[in-house]
Amino acid sequence: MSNTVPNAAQLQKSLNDYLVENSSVSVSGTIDPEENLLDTGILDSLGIAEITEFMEKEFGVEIDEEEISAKNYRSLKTLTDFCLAKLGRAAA
Amino acid sequence: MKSTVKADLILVHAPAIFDFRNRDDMALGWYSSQESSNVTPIFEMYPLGFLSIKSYLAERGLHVEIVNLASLMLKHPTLDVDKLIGHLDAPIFGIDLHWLPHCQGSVEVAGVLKKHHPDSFVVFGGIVSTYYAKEMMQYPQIDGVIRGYDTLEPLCQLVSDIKKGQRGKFDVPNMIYKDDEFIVDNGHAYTPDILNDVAIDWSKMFPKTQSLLNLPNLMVLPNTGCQQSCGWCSGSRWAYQRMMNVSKKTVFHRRSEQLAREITTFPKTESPLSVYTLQAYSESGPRLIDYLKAVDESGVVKSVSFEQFRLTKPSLLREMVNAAPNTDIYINLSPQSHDVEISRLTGRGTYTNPEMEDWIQEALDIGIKGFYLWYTIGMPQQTHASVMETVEYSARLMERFPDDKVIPTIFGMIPFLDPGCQWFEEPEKHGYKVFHRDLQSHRESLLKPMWKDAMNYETKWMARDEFLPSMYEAMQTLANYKADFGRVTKKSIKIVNSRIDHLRYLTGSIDRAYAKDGALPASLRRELLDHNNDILSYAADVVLVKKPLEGRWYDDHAVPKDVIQSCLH
Repeated sequence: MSNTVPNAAQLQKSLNDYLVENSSVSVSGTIDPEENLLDTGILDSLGIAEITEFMEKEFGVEIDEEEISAKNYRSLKTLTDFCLAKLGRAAA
Repeated sequence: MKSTVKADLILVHAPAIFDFRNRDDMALGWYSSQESSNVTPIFEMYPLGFLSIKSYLAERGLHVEIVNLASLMLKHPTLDVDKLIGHLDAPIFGIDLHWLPHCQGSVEVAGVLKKHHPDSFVVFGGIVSTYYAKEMMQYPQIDGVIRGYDTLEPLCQLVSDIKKGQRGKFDVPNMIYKDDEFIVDNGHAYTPDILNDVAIDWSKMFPKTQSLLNLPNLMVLPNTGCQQSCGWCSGSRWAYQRMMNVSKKTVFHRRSEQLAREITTFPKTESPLSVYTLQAYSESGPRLIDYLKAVDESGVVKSVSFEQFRLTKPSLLREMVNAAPNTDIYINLSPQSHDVEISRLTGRGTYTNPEMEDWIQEALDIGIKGFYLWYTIGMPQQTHASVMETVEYSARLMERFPDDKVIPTIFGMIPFLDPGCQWFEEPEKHGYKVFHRDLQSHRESLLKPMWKDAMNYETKWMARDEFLPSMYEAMQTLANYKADFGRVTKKSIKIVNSRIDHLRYLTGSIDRAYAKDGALPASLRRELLDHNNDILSYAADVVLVKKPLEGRWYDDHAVPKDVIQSCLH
């Protein structure tokens, strides 16, 4: 886990890099932040479980099952916003 | 006031093993089709027939509830089953014994139901129930069995009769039952041409907030029976002609209108909805196209999967893709082995591997999204070496078709060969040896500590104790190839490898302990307990990932939270 709280751009890059490296479908270097990760298969059921674990370990957030929803995991942008909100809550 | 689940009929789905919790005398692992579906080793999925029964009887003014006891016990490990069953209130309880792995648990749960509700009628149904109907009458907790591939009307008649207060004599077709100490057999003459003439209501089957760890998927069954006679299948033409009292006609379709009605009930979920279409190989081209159009027009389905027997004509594939421009289409094909001769002996083998590969490429070019290929261990002439050659062939397929276009899977036909199938009925003729023939032997076998004792067959080419090691080696090797070709991540492959290594160690330890002392040492029992409790927290799927044990269509929707809470220790 990183020692400093990342900003939005750092978070997005970190998540982007993780997905490019680990997605089971071929992904180019940068994912469009609005691209639907679920429809494109960039996140499948296994990928969802794994990126959840990645966020928990990398950013030190705790994610409830209920929060692993399409609303939060739909795109790189919603994932970033979700992570930021969790970090904000954790810091408060 | 005491809270209850009250209905005219309560359908109860039992776990494969009752009671599976806190067991330290066996190792729960991957068995049979469990490897290919999103369930744990206790098989918490109930047959779709339960939903058809509920809809059919509701249309006739009868209230049916489905209590998924297996799912509730998984989700709530401290659930007091006796107490919960005390909260159920119905004059009839129906239990599914459709798939043989439920043979132990279903009969035990019938006993608990009878203990708490001695005046209620306990009736069974399903393929295995049909096969073993007469033998099942020996159990005092079972009052009746309704045989057949479609029991909607007979069951409706039974529930209506009992609701009216009738007891004793029942004029219910296909039912064998007890009238005092006498067993009455009403025969097996009800064989309707139209299957399950009702539409399942899927609209309330998924929670509003669906966790993405459990992507919503549902199943559609457009027909039952088969035109093919695969030797290992109790749903085959050969088996139906002997078990279901039918002769020339061995495929029974649902009306297209009912399928269309059913599709209109598909819910709009937050997450992509997938539909698995069972037995699509028995559907005509026009019916497939109509079905796909309706699925696509529903606007709520992301992907649909089809089971196909032969290499579907490219012209039909093109029509399928055109019929559903907004839906991803996947095809499931089961060659069973890479070896065409073995494939042919299983009832498949109507195409060679080069023909299949060319066809896959053409289908992908047409717009089919992907292919799932299923290979099985336990086929005639299949040795361990042949199994591993199938794995090597699977690797070559993944190399040729990158990006998840082709996903091969291999699993063992363990622990059971289906009663009623050709190889079970005529084993020697096909190189098989069957160890358990009656229901009680199968029930006892599931509780044996050594996994090979549960197996009800072996072949001339593979002895019983070769199956599990062969399956573990094949699955592990294939999983590692999948990691090499990017089908699963490097992290996942670590989990798969450690899980299979641990299962191999545990099953080996049990065998060695029994060979040496005829008993399990305390230290091994502790390890088994830890393993079993751990593995039950997974909804298996092909790759082991922890997933919520709820929110799937077959999880329990009937028992109120306050009742569950009052039954927890």
